[in-house]
Amino acid sequence: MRRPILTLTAVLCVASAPAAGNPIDTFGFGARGPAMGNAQSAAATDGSANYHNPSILATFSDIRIDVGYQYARPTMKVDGLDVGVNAARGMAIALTAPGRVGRAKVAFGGALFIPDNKISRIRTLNSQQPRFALYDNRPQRLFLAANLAAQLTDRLFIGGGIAYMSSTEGGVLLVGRIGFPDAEDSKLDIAIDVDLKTVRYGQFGMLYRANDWLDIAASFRTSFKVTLDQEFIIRGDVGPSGAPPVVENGYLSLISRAEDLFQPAQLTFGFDAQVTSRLALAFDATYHRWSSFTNPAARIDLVLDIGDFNALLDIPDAPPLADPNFSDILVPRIGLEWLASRTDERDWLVRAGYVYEPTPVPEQFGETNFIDNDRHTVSLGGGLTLSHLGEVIRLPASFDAYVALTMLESRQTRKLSPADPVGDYEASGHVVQAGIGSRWRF
Amino acid sequence: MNVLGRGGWARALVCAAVLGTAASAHASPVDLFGFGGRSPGMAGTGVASATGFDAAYINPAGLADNHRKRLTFGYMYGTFSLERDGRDTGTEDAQGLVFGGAMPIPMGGVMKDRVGFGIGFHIPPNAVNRARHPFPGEPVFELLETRAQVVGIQAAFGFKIRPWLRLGIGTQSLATLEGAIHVSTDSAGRFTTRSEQQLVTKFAPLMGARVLWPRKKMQLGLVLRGESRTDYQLLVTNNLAETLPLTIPTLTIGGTSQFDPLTVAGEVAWEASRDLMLNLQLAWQNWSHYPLPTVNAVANNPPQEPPNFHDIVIPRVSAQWTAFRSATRTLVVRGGYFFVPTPAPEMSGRQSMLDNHRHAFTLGAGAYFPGSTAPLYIDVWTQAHVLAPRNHTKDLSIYMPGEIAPYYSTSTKGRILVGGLTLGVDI
Repeated sequence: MRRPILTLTAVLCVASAPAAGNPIDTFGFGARGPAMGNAQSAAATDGSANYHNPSILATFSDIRIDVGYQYARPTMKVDGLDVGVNAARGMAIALTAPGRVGRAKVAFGGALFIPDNKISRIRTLNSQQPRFALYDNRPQRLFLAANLAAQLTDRLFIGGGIAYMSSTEGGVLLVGRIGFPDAEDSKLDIAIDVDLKTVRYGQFGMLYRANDWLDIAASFRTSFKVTLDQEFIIRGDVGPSGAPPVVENGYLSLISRAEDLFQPAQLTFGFDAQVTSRLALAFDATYHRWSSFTNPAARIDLVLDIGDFNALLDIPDAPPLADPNFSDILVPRIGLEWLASRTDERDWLVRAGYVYEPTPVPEQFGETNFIDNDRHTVSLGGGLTLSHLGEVIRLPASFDAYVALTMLESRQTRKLSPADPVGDYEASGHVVQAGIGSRWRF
Repeated sequence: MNVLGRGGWARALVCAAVLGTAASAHASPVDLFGFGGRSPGMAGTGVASATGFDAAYINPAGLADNHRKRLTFGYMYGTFSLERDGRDTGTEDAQGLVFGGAMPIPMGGVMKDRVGFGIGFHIPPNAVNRARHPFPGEPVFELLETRAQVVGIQAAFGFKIRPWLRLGIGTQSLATLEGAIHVSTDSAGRFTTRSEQQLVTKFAPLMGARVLWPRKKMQLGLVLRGESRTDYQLLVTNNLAETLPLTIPTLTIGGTSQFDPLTVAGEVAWEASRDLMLNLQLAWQNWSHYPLPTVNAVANNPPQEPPNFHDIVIPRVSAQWTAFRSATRTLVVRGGYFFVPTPAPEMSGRQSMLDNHRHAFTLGAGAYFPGSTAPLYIDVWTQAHVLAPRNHTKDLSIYMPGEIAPYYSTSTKGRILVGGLTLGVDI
């Protein structure tokens, strides 16, 4: 194998990158769903329905509040070296309020996953810089959704809602004097016009109660991405303070446009079958439209006028960004829930799940370095439902916990060009996840 | 590389004009106009009487008196006519979606019928937040121009402590933008950027109390809303020295895009008759903490003159008259007035943060159908704000020879018209 020319550089560059995908896509919501491989489009019984399938909210008959905490620690390796991808963690909160309008059963639900101490992180890197494409920055964001659901017939429920995020657009204008030869001697006044733009995306679902033991579901989530559109304009003289300028009326405009936090459109079909009185089986198959993923690297437009110095400049135009050529994938998920023990006071449940996610990323033999591998996730969890908590909390409360392990198959990347600045590399990794959750009914 | 010729200055000047007139940020629509469908029609009162989802902002203690689950959706629209020296500043209209929910939390035992929860959102249709400010010293209506372009999220619980006492606690959620942008060239000498921006969560507390005094047909309310502000700070660094024949300094893009001061409001609601309720509120706002809207972009700039805002007290009066009442239908009419003295001093120094005393007249109405198949609650409201004319005269002695003051004397006035509609349904 040709030795990577810049492997060390690549590792250092990735080392500062954060972890794991869209937080709910990757970890699930709460502690019950992740324990069942997030096969929840038909099986959700908690606030995670706000994400997996809003129609399920209309099946609830009492107010439900979910509070949980989730943690994921990735270990991503390039050529055997841990690149130090950051852990992702955050709090999951959901509220569901069912009721009736006339004779129609309806429900309102809201869900919030908030990473510790931040709502979102947007990061842009240049096109060549290696990054774990699906584990780079996508989990570092808020999930905030509001949903409405209704029961249409005895067996049919529908629901939908919107989720919110924001993107940054705008620019700054700096006017004054740029210090020369000492730039820090500059005197510049600033005018700012930056918006955090609202980004909305939709999610819809339906649930059909085929019979007493089988629920069938479908859900759809639209695509989403955040854009980062920033402009810097500097105009003014260039020169030292108190002396004639070296350049009069200089001008620099730099526009940077980039994308981040991509989430593909997703279509899920699933079922939840009560196989025996103690065993439930849940299955989801989700189609992820990764082929619409576009290169997130920054596109730069530069306009520069520095008078007589213009003749000294030789900056090549930036070529178009390479098409990432991601492919659509189908992700199967399977989950089991076994009622281990039931008494008047409490139920003990054991859960397990498995997910296989083929990578949407093609071979990276060219300029781009999107790193991703086929993934296998196994999960295990438990639940305790207490029927009687006293007079104040009259309805049962549930407490859940789970652990999960995601393994990334090893994958070799071989570059076509011997002069490739990054070179060949091998990537692998795993993610350890854990979480706790509580569900309160009123 | 595209090297700009002299014609590029036209673009630069257009950009400068756009940015220069695009006005300031600061403070939220809920602080300007009130929140929900009822309170804005009553001059922003409700500290002693609000019980719906809007109580999550107005006074969380009122949530304890929720008896039904109710969802509410609404919309507001406002137009600004702000004038400086007779010329309109072209301030952008304000829009916002309003939605929220309030519900009792049905617990048992000693907590039976004692806990309520409310959540409310005000969401501008296009922007979660907006940071706009011209160059330091340029004239701008500091507290009005883009003040209405900020998201507001409130969530709170109310508790019935005694039959006559309710307490509430909640939070307003905000975000602060932090980050860094590094401009450099890649191995082929092409310009590229690496950037990282984080929206960091911030919370501002909401606390309230309400005392019922049925013998006097009065309710007393007290609320504290913590200071809420949205800051941003981006550090722009570069290593272009090897590519360009000159270097660019490290730039700090920072400031405060939204600021609602610490507010303490006390209110009395008096049921003058079965159909008439009168409200009187006094609210103290801690505007003396108002920060500089932008920080200096480079370290070498001289320090900016502080805003020197001062605290204010806002009086509000309102009335609500029940015009019709039956088991299934209720019609109410509301009106009010409030006066907002400006916290901004005369702008005779280097800063030009313009603001005026503001008189606001409000009207509202509600039509409720609690007994119908779909129990609907419809509220409409409108407000007219009149900015009292004001003059500012610069002290020209503070300017250096050759410096041009943005004005010698300037006069400001204006008006704001805003209205909204909310639709609630019990579920």
